[in-house]
Amino acid sequence: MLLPGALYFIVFRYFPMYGVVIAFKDYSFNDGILGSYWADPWNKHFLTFIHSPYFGQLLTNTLLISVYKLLFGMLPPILMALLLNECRIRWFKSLVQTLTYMPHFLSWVIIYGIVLALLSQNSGLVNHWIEEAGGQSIPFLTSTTYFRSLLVSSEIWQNLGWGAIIYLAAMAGIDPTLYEAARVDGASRLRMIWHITLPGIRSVIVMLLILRLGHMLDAGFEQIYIMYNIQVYPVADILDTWVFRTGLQQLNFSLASAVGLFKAAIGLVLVLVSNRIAKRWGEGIW
Amino acid sequence: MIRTPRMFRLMAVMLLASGLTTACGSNEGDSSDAPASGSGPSPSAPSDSASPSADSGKVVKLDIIETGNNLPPPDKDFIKRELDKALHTDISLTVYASGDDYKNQLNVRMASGNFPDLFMVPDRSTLKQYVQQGLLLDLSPYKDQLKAAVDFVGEDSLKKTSFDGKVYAIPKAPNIPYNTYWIRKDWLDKLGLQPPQTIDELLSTAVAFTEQDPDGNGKKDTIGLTGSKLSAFAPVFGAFGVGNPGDFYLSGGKLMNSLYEPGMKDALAFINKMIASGSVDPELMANTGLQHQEKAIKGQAGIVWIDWPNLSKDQFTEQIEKVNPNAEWIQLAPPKGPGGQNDGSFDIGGSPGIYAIPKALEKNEEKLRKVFDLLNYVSTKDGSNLVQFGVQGRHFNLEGDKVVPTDLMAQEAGFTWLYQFTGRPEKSYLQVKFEKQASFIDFADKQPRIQTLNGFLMTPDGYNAADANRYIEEETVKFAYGKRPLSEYDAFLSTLETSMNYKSFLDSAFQQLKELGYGN
Repeated sequence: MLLPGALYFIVFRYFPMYGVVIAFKDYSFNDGILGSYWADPWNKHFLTFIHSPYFGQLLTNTLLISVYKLLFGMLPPILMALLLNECRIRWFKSLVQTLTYMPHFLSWVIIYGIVLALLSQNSGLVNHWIEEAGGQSIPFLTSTTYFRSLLVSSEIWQNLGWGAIIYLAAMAGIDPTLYEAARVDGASRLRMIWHITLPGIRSVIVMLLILRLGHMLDAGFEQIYIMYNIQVYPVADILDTWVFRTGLQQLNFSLASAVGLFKAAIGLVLVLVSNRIAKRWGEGIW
Repeated sequence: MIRTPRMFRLMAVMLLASGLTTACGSNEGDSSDAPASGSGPSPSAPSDSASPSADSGKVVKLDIIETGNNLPPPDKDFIKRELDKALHTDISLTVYASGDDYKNQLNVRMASGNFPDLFMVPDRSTLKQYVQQGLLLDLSPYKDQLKAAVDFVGEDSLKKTSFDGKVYAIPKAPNIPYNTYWIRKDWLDKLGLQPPQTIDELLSTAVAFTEQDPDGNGKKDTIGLTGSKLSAFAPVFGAFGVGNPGDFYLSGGKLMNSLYEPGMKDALAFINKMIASGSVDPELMANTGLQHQEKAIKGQAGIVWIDWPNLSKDQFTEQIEKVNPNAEWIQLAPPKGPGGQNDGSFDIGGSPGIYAIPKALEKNEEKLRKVFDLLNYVSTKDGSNLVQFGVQGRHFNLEGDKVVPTDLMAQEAGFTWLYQFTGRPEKSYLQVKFEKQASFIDFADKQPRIQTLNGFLMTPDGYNAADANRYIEEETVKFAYGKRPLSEYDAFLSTLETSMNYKSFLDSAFQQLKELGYGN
């Protein structure tokens, strides 16, 4: 039974990995992956990347945006799931659930359109209100002060309902007799949430956290690529957008895969370390 | 690696939906044009010539890709049908709406060895990369077989696509500039102003448009000037006698880079003054695609830097009228400044399109023959008329040598430019196809411009153009927005030269241009 799955991984996941060697080669289309010459020195493309004047900024931006998204994005879906779990009016629950996970299916282009309609400086709704109230309009989209908050909050908005689903599923799996026993003992709802629901989904929370850590260096290419502009580059330019401009658009696939490999290596280390730590608390995923 | 940008297709569609359906990018370099009214062909295409392969000879399939839009499905594509009939081919043209998307698609196809038979190369740098990778067919030995095409684009313009004396692609015949400032005549009248003639008047007019409620709705909700990023100030740079940041051109017989001209600092200082006055679109730098056009049409802005098709074609004049029946847009001659009067710059090294043939086709003589036939055919009278105007007798009639359009041309033949692989005689073409807009076309063409040479340049090895371009744009924007004092301009240049390696690019650029016979 394992065979089809294993075969899938070998053929589509492991075998193509040999292509990663182009990170150490001067990849030429004509010579192909194996035929291209080795880069001289072997780490040439890594050096190009590290010596880019923007390297420090890129890494900082990537990590910061990622950490913000992780920190601020962790709690809202859990809260959402708790609220939905406690809601006893079924039609209301499903209505809210449908409405909140709809944004997940919207592409970033559409979300950017909504953001623009709300936050644009001369025609946005929010700035319109601020001006009506006698305030100064705020350059949400072009100011380095607000841009990261904008990224993080729009990401949270997009994934709120979707993120809640998995927690809801975990909550559904909690043994109902625990709640019954608690009720008999006279526990309030809040007590039950604290002592039964949250511990019940703890392993799911930790697992999702570890998985997220592996993608620490993916700060959300599509979102940023669509939303950023030259005025916010200093706070918004991340590894992936740089690779897109420098590696893919300029046909430098070796450089692009060198950066990809760099990211994967760091991601792997993060996953291993966080799993170690989680194990200490009795929760690892393996 | 980055996730596959399937998103981009969507993005392109969305961002450009308003504008690009009309086939006109906001850049001067974009030579595309579009139906004057109602896009797409009418469904009532003639059915008399339905089977192209019925004649004789073997039908050869040709796979062609380029950027573009509004290509009708093959069964309604009468240009494909006519070309197939004339050349015994089965042409399959694929167009991509977004330049970024196209670049990616093309790179992926090249990388995987799935070569199209004829394709557009995005720019000279990409051309160079392909040449170095040995992907392109050297066309020099085939010049005789391509005579019609070469004659059509002009032997001279082949140097745009040559490396080491070898020709690797066919550049389209050059086009003419489209961009000017456009200004709301009715707003000027309402405030009792004259069209601005100097940059100081430009500033005061923009301020008046912002402060004095020109649309008379009692709210301060209008902006003076808009455009797409720094290009909105192209005529201001021109008024100081300099090109846009990073442009190369001849100034008094000497090769110059705009960043090193004293006028550049003054221009940035003046732009800073304009921005500080609050009369410039605050989201200027975030205007992607055609958002500035939208702001102009909606009556939010009074002056806009844009190409004539995007404000004067029937579909847009209709929209403008719907928003405000009294709105009247007129073109504005470039305002004068201390450095003269230039409507921005125009890249004479650029081409509206470069078309190359993959080296892999060398072994497939039959196919190669057909590609040559195609290029020659669209360069000679019958074929050229076909791809310019449509089917003779249906979309146009010939009176002597004069092309007389029928009503159907405007309705059906809007997409034919997609097949103009070698370009078109720009002026006569536009005047037939855009009769109503003739005065705007003429106006834009006649304005003085700085002739830049960037299109001839290739980037030297070890120079990361993406990083340097970002730095130039980022810092000039900072100067313009007063986020960095102009007293640090020299520090900016030295960082650019050292950290960004711009010096090596400058040296190589001057050398390249001298080799092509510019400056001395």
